Amino acid sequence: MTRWQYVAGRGVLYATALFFALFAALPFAWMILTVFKQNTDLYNPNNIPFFFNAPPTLDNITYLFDNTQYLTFVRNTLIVPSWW
Amino acid sequence: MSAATSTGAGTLAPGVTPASPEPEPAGRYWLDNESFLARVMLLPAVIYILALVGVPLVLAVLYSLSDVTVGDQSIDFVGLQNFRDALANTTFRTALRNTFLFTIVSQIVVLVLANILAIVLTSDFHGKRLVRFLVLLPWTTPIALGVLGWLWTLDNVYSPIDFILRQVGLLGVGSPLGPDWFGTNALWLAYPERAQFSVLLVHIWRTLPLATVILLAGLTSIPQDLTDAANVDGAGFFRQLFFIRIPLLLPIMAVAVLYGIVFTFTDMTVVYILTRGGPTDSTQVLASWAFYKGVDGGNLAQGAAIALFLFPVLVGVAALMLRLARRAETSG
Repeated sequence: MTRWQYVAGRGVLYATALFFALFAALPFAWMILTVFKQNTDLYNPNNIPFFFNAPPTLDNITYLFDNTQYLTFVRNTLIVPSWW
Repeated sequence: MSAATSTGAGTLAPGVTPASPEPEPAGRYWLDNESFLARVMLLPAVIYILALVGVPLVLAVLYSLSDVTVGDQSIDFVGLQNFRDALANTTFRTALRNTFLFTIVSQIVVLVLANILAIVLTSDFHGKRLVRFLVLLPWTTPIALGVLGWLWTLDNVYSPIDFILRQVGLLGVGSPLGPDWFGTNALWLAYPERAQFSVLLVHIWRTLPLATVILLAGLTSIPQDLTDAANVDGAGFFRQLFFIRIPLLLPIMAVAVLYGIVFTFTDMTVVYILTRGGPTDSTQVLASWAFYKGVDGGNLAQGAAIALFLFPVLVGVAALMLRLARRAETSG
């Protein structure tokens, strides 16, 4: 095998691995990123979606605990019947 | 044993000599009786299957032949009217076509991608553990959660995919893909064809990890001598792929595809969360259409008839799976 073939083979291998990793992780990455984004950052289509154009925030997480029954949801997930 | 029988006889009739040989008292040694014990121990599983598979299946058949609705649950038989009504409905025909289309296309793509991915994951490279972790993630995630992630990723206005397409010039006025792509957004869930593509994409994303894991397990069963012999004989990568790997992996691939078929054919979560069957019922599948008709619309009989169209294919898949399992048992 020539050196050129070796380099080409490794390139194809890494490119394929990268493609599959990105495809599998895209929705998760987007979910995690949007958790910490401010709404004004999110709802501006001119912003680059992959950066924090406004400072990161924990508002979306505190919202869960302040305005939803999040702990009940967690308990229901861990213990199936809600009457426990 | 002799002591037990003699005391038993004594309590029954004192002073009377028992006829010998005495027949064993029925039920006395039932714990020693293996065939009885086996039946008792299998009983929970049999009850479970009868109650959770048998009863609903019989009910579905009964409902499909009757005029049961949510409001009137008395079963009056109407023959095959529900099936005729279902077939006469254009949305039903779309749902039937979509169910097969999504299943067949997604499983063909998954089969090709899983083979490629299995080759990648058996090679050595930096970051392999991370790639393996990321690739398996969709399989460990609840379907609803994964689909919600995609719903947000394919958003009609704020999709990050659209942003990338805009940056590389595939989206927007003058797009090389044609006038359909001249808008600022691809509207992945708003055009019938693109919504169907989105549903397919999510199915592929979600069933690819399991197929890959099954193929990886199969690859370890290929004897090293075969690969060594092929290397000595000078067989290149593609020759080894098409003449050793793929033929030897065929039974394992069948297992992977059968699982994928069951998961995509019966699924309604992807369609329900991503598109609600829309736009204009163009992504409706049998499972979701049965739900909308039977549960949301309250026409239980019609819903049961629609859902029963899934049955023949699932019976076929189950039979194939049992055959494969039996072959694996006897050959192993």
